[in-house]
Amino acid sequence: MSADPSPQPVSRRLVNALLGLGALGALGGMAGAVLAYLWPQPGQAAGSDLLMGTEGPLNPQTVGEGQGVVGRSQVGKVLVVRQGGEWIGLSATCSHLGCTVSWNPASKQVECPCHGARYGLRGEVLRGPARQALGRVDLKVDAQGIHVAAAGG
Amino acid sequence: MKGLWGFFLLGPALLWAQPPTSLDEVFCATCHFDQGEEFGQSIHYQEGQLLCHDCHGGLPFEADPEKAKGPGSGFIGRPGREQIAALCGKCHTAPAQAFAQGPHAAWQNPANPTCISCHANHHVLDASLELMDSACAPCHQPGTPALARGEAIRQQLGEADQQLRRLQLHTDSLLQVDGSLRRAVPYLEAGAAALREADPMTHALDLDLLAGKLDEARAEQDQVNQLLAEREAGRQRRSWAVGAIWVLVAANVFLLWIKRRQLQ
Amino acid sequence: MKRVQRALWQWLDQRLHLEPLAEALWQNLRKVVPPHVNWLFTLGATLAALLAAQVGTGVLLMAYYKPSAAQAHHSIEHLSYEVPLGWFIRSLHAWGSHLIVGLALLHLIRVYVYGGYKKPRELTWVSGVLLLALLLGFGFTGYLLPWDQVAYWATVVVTQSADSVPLAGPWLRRFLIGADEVSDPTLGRFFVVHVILLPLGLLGLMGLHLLLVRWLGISPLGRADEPAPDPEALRQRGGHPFVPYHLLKDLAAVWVGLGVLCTLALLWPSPVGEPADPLVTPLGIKPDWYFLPPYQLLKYVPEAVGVLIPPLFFLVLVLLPFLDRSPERHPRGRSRAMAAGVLVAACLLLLGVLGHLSETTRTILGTTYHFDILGWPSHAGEEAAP
Repeated sequence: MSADPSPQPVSRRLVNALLGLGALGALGGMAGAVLAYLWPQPGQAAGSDLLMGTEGPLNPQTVGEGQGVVGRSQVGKVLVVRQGGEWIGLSATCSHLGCTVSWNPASKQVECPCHGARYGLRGEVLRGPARQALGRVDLKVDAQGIHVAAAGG
Repeated sequence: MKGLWGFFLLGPALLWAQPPTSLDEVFCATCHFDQGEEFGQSIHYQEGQLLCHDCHGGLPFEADPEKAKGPGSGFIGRPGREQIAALCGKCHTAPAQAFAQGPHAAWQNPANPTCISCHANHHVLDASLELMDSACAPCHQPGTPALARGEAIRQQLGEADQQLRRLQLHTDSLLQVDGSLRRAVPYLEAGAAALREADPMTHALDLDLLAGKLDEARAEQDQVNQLLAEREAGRQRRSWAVGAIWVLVAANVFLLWIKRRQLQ
Repeated sequence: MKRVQRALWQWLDQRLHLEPLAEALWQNLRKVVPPHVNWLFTLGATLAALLAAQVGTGVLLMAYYKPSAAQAHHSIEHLSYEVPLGWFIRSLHAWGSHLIVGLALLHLIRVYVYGGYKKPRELTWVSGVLLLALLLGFGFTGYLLPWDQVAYWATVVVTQSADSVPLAGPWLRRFLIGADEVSDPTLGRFFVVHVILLPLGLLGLMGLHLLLVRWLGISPLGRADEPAPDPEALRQRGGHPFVPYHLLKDLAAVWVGLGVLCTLALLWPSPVGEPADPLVTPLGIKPDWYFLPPYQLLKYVPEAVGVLIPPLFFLVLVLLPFLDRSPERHPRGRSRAMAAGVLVAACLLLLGVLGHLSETTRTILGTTYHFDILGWPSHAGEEAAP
């Protein structure tokens, strides 16, 4: 293989074949990677943006007029209130120290059980110790359940 | 993660947002000077922006004591034992509800504590795990099952808190070099939130009740640990891939060199 | 197999008259390359391979990337965390951009040192410098696309300097950005430039550049006012035909280049940065390394002057073959050109290093220094709070 001046056809063909194989292998690897990358992925579809209760997606029919419920979703814990025929979504994490707020139908306020913070239905702070409003959450209610998406960009 | 440290960092920072009414403007403190002083240093005044009448009733800006504390003013005066839990529970609903379920709930029994027995009134003590270290001893003898229960709860909460803090620090240090771990932050925040919600539950002094919340916190931490493990596994796989690539490159460069020699 | 190949070739040749073309191409590829051509001359081929990889990974990224301010960052997150090998494709593209600019600069230096820009290769040089400008444009527009904090604010800083161009400055800046502040319209136009306008330019210029290189051959080291040595003379001095000898070298370099690219992407994958927040400016925002020299320069001279220096520098670079009329190609016969080159390179390097160190605190050999905005160090000691 080293200082051999006369070319041997067999080893020449071998080298050419191996070089071709190497190139093909590299190209094949790239093609495989591209295929894996572009392969259609299962359901990034509807299911994942639903509001979830303790046993699967929350059924909007269980939320009566004037009532509220907290569920988990891909944007975090969300408080959903049905008021005046409308569905209102707010982040359920109190902006004070992070406790989960709930809806009080009697007082018609969002209340935090840890230190008594109160919010209105637009997320605005009605009583401290919270200082920042609750983030709004866009809701879409259909037969599958309650779809959530963070409002704004 | 603001939850864990927010108490100490957010406090002073938020003071500027709405300056509390000066206690000098409140007439109660003119006579009840000592209580006013104590109250002024408490977090109820500085953060909660409460005034005397929020607990005691009455009209704080009325100069005439007769009118300030008279009929129609809603003045309660010194709340009785039966009123304390309801009063505190107006804001602190979760701890009050848990307290009502616990062994200390019967206010008629003078041996039972009320909220202010552990948390003090006017200069309210910050609620913390450390409070549990000194709060039980005055009434419960060492070695009694009651004290043992309290200690068990204290220990579990303490351990859960420590575990979360350690994970937080570990993730933070890795975040400096690997931004992809930002995915772990929502889980850490959820874990901290779960622990913060567990705290008021201690008032029920029921380990089973607490277990649910602690499991929640643990589940969030498991998610973070899983992310960290995936990251480690990924790094190993990638190191192998680098090795394989250079074997391939070296082999092909070698073949090209042989080809070159053959052509000469 | 061979019979099938011949049949196919004949079919095409009867319709397209490929035979004379193929013959001319083969003659060209068999041209003897001067003996001084060493491994430094493989930079061009490596660049071409890396650019091909860049286009490939870029096209793949477009399958998942969403060019709107509201969706861009989230699409990058999805790409990096959920799409199989998405992180790898993205890292290849990000590292590729650094390698390409770096190798392009090395290639430029190589051509400069060997006098490859002299007659008759002036157009090759001009197309090459224009290609470099395109590459910088690619880097600038591509950087913004992930819409993270670093990208957003680096773009704000760079477009801010457009404001200082005399007369047209503010208008130029607003035209670049597409709005008053860097926002969704900015992303839109940067995306268009990055994904179709610059690639079309790249295709055209690269085609021209490669055509010229092949047509004119690799420049010999003799004087430009002397006739080029004939192939037999070159062969006697040790030169070989491009195919297969130098092609093999090029292929080896391409293998290594792609290997380096994959290694960088595998061991240091691109992280997903924090989403852009127009309300919060992070500390110490700087553009990418190849923009550091002009960025740092702007801190030392008045902005109106500083903003005109890079275009002027580029103009001089483009016009180099017409400004340097000396027919000498060999570096030993061009001491002034070599000195000028070293000086320029040193200045750029110095500015780059100053830019990199500015506004940072580092510990060098045990002592902690704080570098201010101009890059001057001062002792920080233990009491300095970073």
